[in-house]
Amino acid sequence: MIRVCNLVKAFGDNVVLDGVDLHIKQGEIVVILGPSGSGKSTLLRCLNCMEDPSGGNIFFHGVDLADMKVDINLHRQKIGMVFQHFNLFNNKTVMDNMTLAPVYVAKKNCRKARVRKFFGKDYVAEDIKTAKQIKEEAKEKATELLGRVGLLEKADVYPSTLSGGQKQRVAIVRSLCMNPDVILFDEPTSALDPEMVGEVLDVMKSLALEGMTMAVVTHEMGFAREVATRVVFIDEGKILESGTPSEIFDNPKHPRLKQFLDKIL
Amino acid sequence: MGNFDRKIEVFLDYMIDAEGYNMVLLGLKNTVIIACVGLLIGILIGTVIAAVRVMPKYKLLPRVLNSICSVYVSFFRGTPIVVQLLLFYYVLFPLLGVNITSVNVSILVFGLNSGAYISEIMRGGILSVDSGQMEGGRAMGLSFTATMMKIVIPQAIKNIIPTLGNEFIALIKETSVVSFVGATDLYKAFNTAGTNSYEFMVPYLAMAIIYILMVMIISLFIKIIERRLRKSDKSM
Repeated sequence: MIRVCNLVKAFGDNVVLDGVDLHIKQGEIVVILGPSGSGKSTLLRCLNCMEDPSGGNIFFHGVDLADMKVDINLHRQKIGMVFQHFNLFNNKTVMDNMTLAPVYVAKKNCRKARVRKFFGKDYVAEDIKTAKQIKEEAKEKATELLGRVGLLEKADVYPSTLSGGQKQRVAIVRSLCMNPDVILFDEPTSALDPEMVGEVLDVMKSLALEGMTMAVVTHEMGFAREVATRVVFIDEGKILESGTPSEIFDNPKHPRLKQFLDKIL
Repeated sequence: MGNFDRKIEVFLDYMIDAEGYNMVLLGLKNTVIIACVGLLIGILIGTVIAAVRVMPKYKLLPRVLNSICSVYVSFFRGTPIVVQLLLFYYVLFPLLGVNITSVNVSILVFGLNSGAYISEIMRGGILSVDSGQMEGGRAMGLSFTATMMKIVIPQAIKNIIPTLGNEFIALIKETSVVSFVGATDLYKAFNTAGTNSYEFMVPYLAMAIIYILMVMIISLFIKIIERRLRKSDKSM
């Protein structure tokens, strides 16, 4: 689904990613491990071009996202992202946070379809809806998702009143509202109080069970061992080792990985 | 001070019996219109310029827009507003062959001028919003413009309300120069009152009081708006 070829990312003279190759297949849960400053977050952020790659290619469904001519917004709609600091919209209620992007995209598609219809070109008939229909559909979906993470009663409050764990759960279902093909998690539990980590990991686990494709940067080794289908160890901008959780945790080969695991386990 | 009583009498005579209040009302109306509409135009222009200035600049179009905006800002901040009024009224519009009233020119110039100042205020406001808000929007597939309009600018405006109020007060007071192009504003009305009776003391005193009152009313409004916005921040 996502294929990264020889990805290079440099901030000025500082080379953060140095020729990374990675292939994330449909339904895989790839956990990216590495010491701080190893480039794991940058790698994840390159996958949806939040950081523009300095070199190499990122193929998403066969389209090269590193190409500046590609309409990145279109592809980002299918790549969900969950941040360390949640990044919920502070000026919107939880419900509005969730429906904002779906409504925006649906309205845009509707406008496009109307224009195509007007000029007699072929168009997708389902795209043409009234504004009310679009809103109701988005709301219905958001309500269902909120119910799934047990936050239905928080639909009309502002994010500032939620706890960290609640914010992150909202952030996860917010990305689900767009029906993404893959979700990127950038240290989703690092900014949380220890007792709230569990509730967020539970949501992620249930997503994994449903077969969602995920790429996760995390320090939660328990989660990596239990849920991941593949673990990737990265240091100094290079992938040093990659394999199943048992290969990585029980039988590490690279000395740097052994050293890393010794320190944290 | 017996003299002063007489001066007040002369002033009241002119104002009430000679219907001088009509001109004061007209002047007041023009002053308020120029300042209010000018502020609205300024906010619009300022927001657009500020958004252009914080755009990521690795493509050509934002860079071109950015240089246009900096020329605009340096012109309107670099020349006195009186000069801008005169340039627009006596040079630009005659050259274009457009017939336009002096009040409309004043509205336009004050809008363009405050746009330059508000753009910098707004840019500060936008930069004060956590960059994660922009990232959150972009990661969902919203465009830069859509994220700006729906997420960042509403939060930025909340942060800059006090400064924006300051700008409005400055604008109200600066309108006293529009008589340079012949528009009737508050200053012009009281100046006429003085010229008619050769007594300037009371008219100018009254003018000062009216300006102070206007500014006090505005600052009250700003306080109310600010308090309301803060409330929605906390109690929810």
